[in-house]
Amino acid sequence: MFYKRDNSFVFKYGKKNYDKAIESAALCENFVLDKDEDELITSTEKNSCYNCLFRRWCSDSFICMKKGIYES
Amino acid sequence: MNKHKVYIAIDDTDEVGYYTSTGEICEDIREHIDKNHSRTTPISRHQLLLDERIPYTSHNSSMCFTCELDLETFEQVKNFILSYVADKSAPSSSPGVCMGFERDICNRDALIAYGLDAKKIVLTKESAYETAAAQKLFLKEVKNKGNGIIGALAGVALRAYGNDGRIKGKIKLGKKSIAVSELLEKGLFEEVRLKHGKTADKNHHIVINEYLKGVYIDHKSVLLLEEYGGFYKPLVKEDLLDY
Repeated sequence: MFYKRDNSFVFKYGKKNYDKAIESAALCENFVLDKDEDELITSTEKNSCYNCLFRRWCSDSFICMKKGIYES
Repeated sequence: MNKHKVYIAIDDTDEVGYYTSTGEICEDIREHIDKNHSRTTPISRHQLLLDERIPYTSHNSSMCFTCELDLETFEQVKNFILSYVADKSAPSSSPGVCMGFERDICNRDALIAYGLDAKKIVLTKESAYETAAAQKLFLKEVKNKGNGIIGALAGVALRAYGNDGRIKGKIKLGKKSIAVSELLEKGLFEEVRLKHGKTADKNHHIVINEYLKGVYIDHKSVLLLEEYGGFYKPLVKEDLLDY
């Protein structure tokens, strides 16, 4: 789901692949829902990496900051 | 003393995994002013450039609202905000605060250009200070590197622009539909438009699935709609990401 770019783990599927972001969150033990509702960009019925407190948006996708902590 | 319109914006108050967002801190400040000094307007959230060279935490957005203050109260509010942001922001964050009277802005177009630049290019603290000084705006680094001054100034600039940002929060009406005219009478939005710009028919009904969320267009809080089988339906969050 992620690839490494300059020591960061970037989500492979960009900013608008809502299904893949849900699939990715389902596989993740570190998912935490962002507490600021205004920053949630998709439905909260299912966990989505797009709504995770540990995602950092970049120009083409987002970087998982948790993966950065544990895997770099 | 006479009261005048004041812009207030903050940015960069959190760190990775922090429990309080810039939006929440801004909401606390707005509530404090509303309770003690002046009516306030809703908070607008302005999306700035997403670029790995910029040290934002997760989404690089700035929050701004307006109120009406006199000179003396302006100082009281300023001191409250600086103290509150210093206290509530994350330990490693670099918050910045920008505020100022609308009437003091000398060159509105130059200020707006700064805000639009902040959505497109990487800016420096030096250019933020230069722009703020030229437009007679108060700009202050609260702690650490204080990079948040760039976003805070951009927040004021984009709010002054009047065509940028989503309104913080969601409106839940507790019913499945409402006429456009009734929604406007409630004062929840200043205007209701179709997504391509046409004004909505006041006699039409809006079908509501969950909530209503507004954006700022032409200096107004606007609810955007799309046609939906003889009715209207509000654009949802996924449709509003470009605002």
